[in-house]
Amino acid sequence: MSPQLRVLFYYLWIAPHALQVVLAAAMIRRRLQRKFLMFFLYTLFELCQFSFLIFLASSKSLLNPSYREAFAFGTAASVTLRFGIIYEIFNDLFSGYKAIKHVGERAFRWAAALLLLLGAGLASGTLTATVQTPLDALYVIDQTISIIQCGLLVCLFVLASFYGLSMKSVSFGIALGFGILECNALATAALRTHVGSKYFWDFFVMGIYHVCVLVWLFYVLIPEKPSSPPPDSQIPEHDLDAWNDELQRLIRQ
Amino acid sequence: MIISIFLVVLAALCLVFLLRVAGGRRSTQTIALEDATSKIQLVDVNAFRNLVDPAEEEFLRDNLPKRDFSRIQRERLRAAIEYAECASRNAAFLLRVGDAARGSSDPALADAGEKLVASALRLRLYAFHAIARLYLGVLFPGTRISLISVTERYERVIRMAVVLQCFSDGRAVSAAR
Repeated sequence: MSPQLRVLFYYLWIAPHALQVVLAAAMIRRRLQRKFLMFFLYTLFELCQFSFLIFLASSKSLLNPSYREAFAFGTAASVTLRFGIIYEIFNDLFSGYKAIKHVGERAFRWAAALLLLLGAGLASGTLTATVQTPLDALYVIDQTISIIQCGLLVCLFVLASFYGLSMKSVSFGIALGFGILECNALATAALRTHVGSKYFWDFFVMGIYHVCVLVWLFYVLIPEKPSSPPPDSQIPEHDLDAWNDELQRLIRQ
Repeated sequence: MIISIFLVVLAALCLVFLLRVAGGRRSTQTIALEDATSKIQLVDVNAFRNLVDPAEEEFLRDNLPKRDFSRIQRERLRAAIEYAECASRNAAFLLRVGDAARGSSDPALADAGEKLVASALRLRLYAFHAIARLYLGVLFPGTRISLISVTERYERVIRMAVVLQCFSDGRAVSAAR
């Protein structure tokens, strides 16, 4: 790796995590750490993992087996937390709408089951075709999980737009960031065994993660805007007249 | 390689969808705040009820040649789809109205808002089912479709919206005194 690329590599490795320190602090300042507990834990976990990995990398090497083991363990824990985050966003979205929560839950469960089937089907096709090393197998597992998580996030947005629900800024920002991250993970896992050098994909993944952290930070820092006009000025007068006519017609029936 | 290409296309489509939602979210909020009046379109419930009335359909079926019945029934159902879509859009707007009202400090207003939200959500669901069934009817004009529940739901939502506005007006009058 050339010195310039090495600088870029360390920037893309360190900068997002430095921003995550700001993100965690901003969440505590806005008292969001309890409401978005899973996301907060994910942020802290990423920071701990980063600290541990950078210590290993500086004391030994990136190719050291203990580094790889720690990286694999960290990835597994991170994936589990991401499922928790998706469920947390789902709960936040439907928390104020008890009337449709059970319908949303059912749709979400069906979507998860279908995505699991799709992921498993594609993984079995890929496993027999391309996997030669344990690392390739890890990419296939990563690809399956990305399909499920990406699909669940899309399902979340579809449900919100179908019911006309407005997502709160922070919820939306977290979901958008993870959506971008999962789409990228899905595409990368599918392509990295076929095209491009290993370094290229590493840089690409790190760059996208940087973008996602910026998205999260932006939505956590911006103040929540009211999504609707104040109650007193809700219904326009001329529409109200028409509705009153409609009501009178109903009473007359 | 085919699976990989499929996954890349899938990922790209998901990303485009997410970015469109992100872009649309901002514009939707702006319209809702700045031009609320343009959101509501009145639905002629009587006309809608007539279009999906099974008795009316039976009458046409009995008195028209099969081909004419199919053509007219398709046109009627297309018109009904427009009404149902309009009702669904209105429900989305009223959902926002109810959402804002249920945060009110006045318990009566908050309660009316809560009920409006619940009804508007159910109407969205019913309208979705209705539109799907209406499209089925357009494809197969002989299919019998009964959608009276949608008109009933719509009327209920309208009543709740008017009740909510009465509460709001009452509160404004009390505050003025």
